[in-house]
Amino acid sequence: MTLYPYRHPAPFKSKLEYSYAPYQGGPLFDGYFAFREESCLFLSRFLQEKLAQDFLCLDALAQAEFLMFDKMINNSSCAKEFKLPNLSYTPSKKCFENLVPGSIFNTRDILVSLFCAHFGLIEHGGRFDVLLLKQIAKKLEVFQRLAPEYSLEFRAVQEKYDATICYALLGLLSLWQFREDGEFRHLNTCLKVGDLLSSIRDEKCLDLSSAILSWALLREEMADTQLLREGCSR
Amino acid sequence: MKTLSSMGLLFFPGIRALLYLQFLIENQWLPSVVVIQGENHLPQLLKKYPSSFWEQFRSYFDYQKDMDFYRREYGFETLQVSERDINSQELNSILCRRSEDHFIFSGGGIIRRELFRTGKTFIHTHPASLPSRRGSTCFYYDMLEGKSCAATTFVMRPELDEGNILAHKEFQVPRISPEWSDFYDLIFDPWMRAQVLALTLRNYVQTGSFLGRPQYPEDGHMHYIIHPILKNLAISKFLSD
Repeated sequence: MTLYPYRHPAPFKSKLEYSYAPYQGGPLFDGYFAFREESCLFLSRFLQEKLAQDFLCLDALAQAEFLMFDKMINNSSCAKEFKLPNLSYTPSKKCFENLVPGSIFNTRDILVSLFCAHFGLIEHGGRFDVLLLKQIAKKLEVFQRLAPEYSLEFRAVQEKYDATICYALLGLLSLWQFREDGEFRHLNTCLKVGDLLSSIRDEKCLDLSSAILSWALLREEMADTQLLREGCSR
Repeated sequence: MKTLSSMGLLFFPGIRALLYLQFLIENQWLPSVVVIQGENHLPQLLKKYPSSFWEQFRSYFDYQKDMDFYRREYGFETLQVSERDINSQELNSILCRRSEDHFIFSGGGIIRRELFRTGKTFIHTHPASLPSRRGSTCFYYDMLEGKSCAATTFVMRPELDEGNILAHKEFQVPRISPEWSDFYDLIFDPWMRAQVLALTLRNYVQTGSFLGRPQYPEDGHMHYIIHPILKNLAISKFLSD
């Protein structure tokens, strides 16, 4: 089996070289699935330690309907179940309208808003949401990292890139975009986010929310990759 | 042979630039000048693959004809700059002194505004349909969708993959065996580009100008370097049995 070559030696710091990647066929897929499984196991162990209450134990989590993303739409309780931070946060659409050049916004807040909009928990910003997601995805694709805050011109405010939850949210949003419109550029972003999250082995980079979302992302991403792989081999 | 007096070739040493030259010559055209950007790394690339690889695809790219061959055979003017970087000061100075209005771009980075200030027109061929697929490694996204691939020639502008579209053509993706999978990056991509460049120059020779249609970036999407998993899936769709 090929060792999956796209592991970040130092997540949030290193940048992987994706140009001119060789065709490796089956061994690359085997390496990818093994790496993702290994990462899910690491996240599972982390979660098992963190989740004291029985109703949120990992087995229940795996079976729970709220991880079946298609069923989450219009289910207003799902966000509460996810225990996302700042879910009481008022969606920031109006805040954006009031922003003036030089303003700063929080990446996590935007992604949480987009996440909630996806499930109909808040009003969808339409084209505005698409543009925001596009800008954040661009940051990830070009720099392979996300800053916790950006100026209105989308310039990183500080040189700190370890907000794991931002990556997990972006990965999930990209995956759902792919499922909606079938555009592989969204899955591309998701896979790059997946490489980064899978490379985390330091528990200090995780909290409950980011670990749940990362775990969910990796499982869902693997499911889509497996389906595509089966489609290619037919 | 007809020398295109207002057309130069910025030769970024590699298969793409050689294919551009090959297609120009096949169409009986010679560039007024060829500016060679930096060292030629092609011999190392050729050695990286067995000769059977290059022989297999010789109908696309004749690996035995290098820049020295074309220069010897056709005697066009060449200039050498030391750096491969398209934005080098040396190249900029040369372009300022040259009389040619148009230069075919074959690589070496993203052209910065300073180079556009030379007043020259830069012609580039992108390996996908524009404006719908802007960005990098776009033909793999086409392959993923099981479609034909395409190339589009356009007049470069400081904004990435914008500027008037000059020609566009679609291509069937050849099926290959897994051991030759680098064919798509190394040969198929530049071969498509060279075909469409030739089409563009045919129009130019007939009309004496670059007649293009504007493109609007909002009509398309930016694509970033394809993830290796997606690239593998894309190639898998076109492997021969």
